[in-house]
Amino acid sequence: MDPILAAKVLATRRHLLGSMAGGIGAIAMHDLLAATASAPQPAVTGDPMAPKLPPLLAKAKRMIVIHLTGSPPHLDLYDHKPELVKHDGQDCPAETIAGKKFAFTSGTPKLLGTPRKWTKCGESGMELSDAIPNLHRVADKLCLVRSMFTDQFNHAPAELMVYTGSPRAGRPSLGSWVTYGLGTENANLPGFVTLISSGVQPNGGTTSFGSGFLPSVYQGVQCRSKGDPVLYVSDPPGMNRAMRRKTLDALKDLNELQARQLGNPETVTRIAQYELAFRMQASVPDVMDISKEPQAVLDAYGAKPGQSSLANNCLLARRLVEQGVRFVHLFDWGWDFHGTNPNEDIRDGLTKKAATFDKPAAALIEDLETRGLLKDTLVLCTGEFGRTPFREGRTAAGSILGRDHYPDCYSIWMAGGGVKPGYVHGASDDLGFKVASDMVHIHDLQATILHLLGFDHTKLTYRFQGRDFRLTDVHGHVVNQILA
Amino acid sequence: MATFDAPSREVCTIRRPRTNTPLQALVTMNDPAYVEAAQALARRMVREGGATTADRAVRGFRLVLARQPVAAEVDRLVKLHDDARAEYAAAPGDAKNMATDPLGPPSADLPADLADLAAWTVVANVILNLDEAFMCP
Repeated sequence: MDPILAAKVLATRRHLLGSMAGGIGAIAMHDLLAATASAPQPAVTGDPMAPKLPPLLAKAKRMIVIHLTGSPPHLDLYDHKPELVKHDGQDCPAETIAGKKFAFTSGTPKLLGTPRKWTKCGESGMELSDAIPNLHRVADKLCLVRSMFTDQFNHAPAELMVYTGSPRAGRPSLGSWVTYGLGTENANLPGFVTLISSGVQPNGGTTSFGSGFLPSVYQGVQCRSKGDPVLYVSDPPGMNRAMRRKTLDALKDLNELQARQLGNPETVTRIAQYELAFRMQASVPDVMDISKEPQAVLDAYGAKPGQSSLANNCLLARRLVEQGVRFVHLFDWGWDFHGTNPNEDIRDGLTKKAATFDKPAAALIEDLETRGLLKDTLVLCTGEFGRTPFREGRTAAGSILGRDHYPDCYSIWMAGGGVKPGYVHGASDDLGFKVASDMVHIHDLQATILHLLGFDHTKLTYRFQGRDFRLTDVHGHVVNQILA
Repeated sequence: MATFDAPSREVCTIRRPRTNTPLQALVTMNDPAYVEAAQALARRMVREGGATTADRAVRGFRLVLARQPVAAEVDRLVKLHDDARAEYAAAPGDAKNMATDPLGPPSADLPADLADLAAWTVVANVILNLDEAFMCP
């Protein structure tokens, strides 16, 4: 008997009801479509990660975020305040702290001038501290914003604010919005990759790189530096590649029989996804293997194969975007400079920690530029917030110099992808308590990032719980001055 | 579970989106829990399926999909079994891994032929990964 006919003879109740439901649905759909012929229909088939052109002209095609978890002391790295140094050790002026709450400080704290040395770097004369000597080299490529502010003064809500636009968990992250809008260019790799160094998860947990209410295909895929870079990317013991290929051929043949019989497009999608999984099994371990890089490149980043470090992750970020990954999100823990131990001292502690960051960060920018990728790759380096211009309350009597969390004014930098190089945007006031000019709120930063990637931030939306959500909620203005 | 669209406990949903991602395929092909399930299914196919390769394939198919396979489906599974059986006979180390890691050695009532059990494990892995096994048509 013809096998297809045989299948029909042997059709179970499930098949019958299934096909009836389709038939009845199709009849109803006919009417519905007639009524709303012009309404856009949601795409139910096709690859959700297929590359898409953004609606506006994009300066950046891909993005790398270096998140310094805990928030670095910007007043000892990026924002030199001679007035603060002059008044070091004095009580904070009453108006600077009136009515404010801090995470670990109460009463009247003492002003803390930076102990760092400063250099005017490059042709732009951007002033940077001696904690980040390697970044001096690339100052003319940085776009430094000294007028950032946020609403949150504790780590988790502040981090969620930066990456999801909301201090509460549940919203999609920046990387998931970007891959939702743009898809990805390499079908053999995840479109959104997260890499975590220093062994500690982000403050916001996986929500900081999650997909919230967007389809889960847009969540960040956390690749690991040891073992399988992606969960279960290795075949089980006893299964070699040839045997896996044979099983997939059989699976494909059987699924195709099914697809021909029932005509469900999802079956076809599943066949494609298994083929992609098979290709990822080869391509993911390959792209994650930095031992193939020339020694000079490893040295430039300070990367060592097999280690878990920000240096390795910066190099991996370049390898991933070079292969067409849309969004790479790095998290590096250990920047919470309260001064509760010598590692959190803004003198030696910061020198040591910054050395693990500024060398690979500078190398990343130079490497991207050498490969012609910097012009359309946006790099963002930020913490959750800034740190206070005064000594943290708990540690003020000790010998270690630390700063408390500070949301009202801080610094971040970007590079590449359509931002002005060698440019400083905005300024803090003399003591660093407030933004003195050109305030940039988190939502403004997000609006600007989306603009650079080719989106109007008010139009990149997803309908959930009865309304259209967006990364910037109901806020945000593009900061036009920093656009190249 | 996030790979399979379960909401994290920070949010709730009344409708789980149905996605179909390569990461899910990696889990259902390679996760030790799935491999173990395939090994257990393979042993039932051998134990309960009858004497012929075709009968055993049918048994596995019915256990998972609750329907009788068509001839073309049986033929394809039998071909996969025979190919895999031949390869595992030439690679006893792989056969042992495929048939017993992580489920452990087969019980005494099963034939001691690990190459055959490994081949059935491969077949069971395929059946468990059929679109029809995930999505009721």
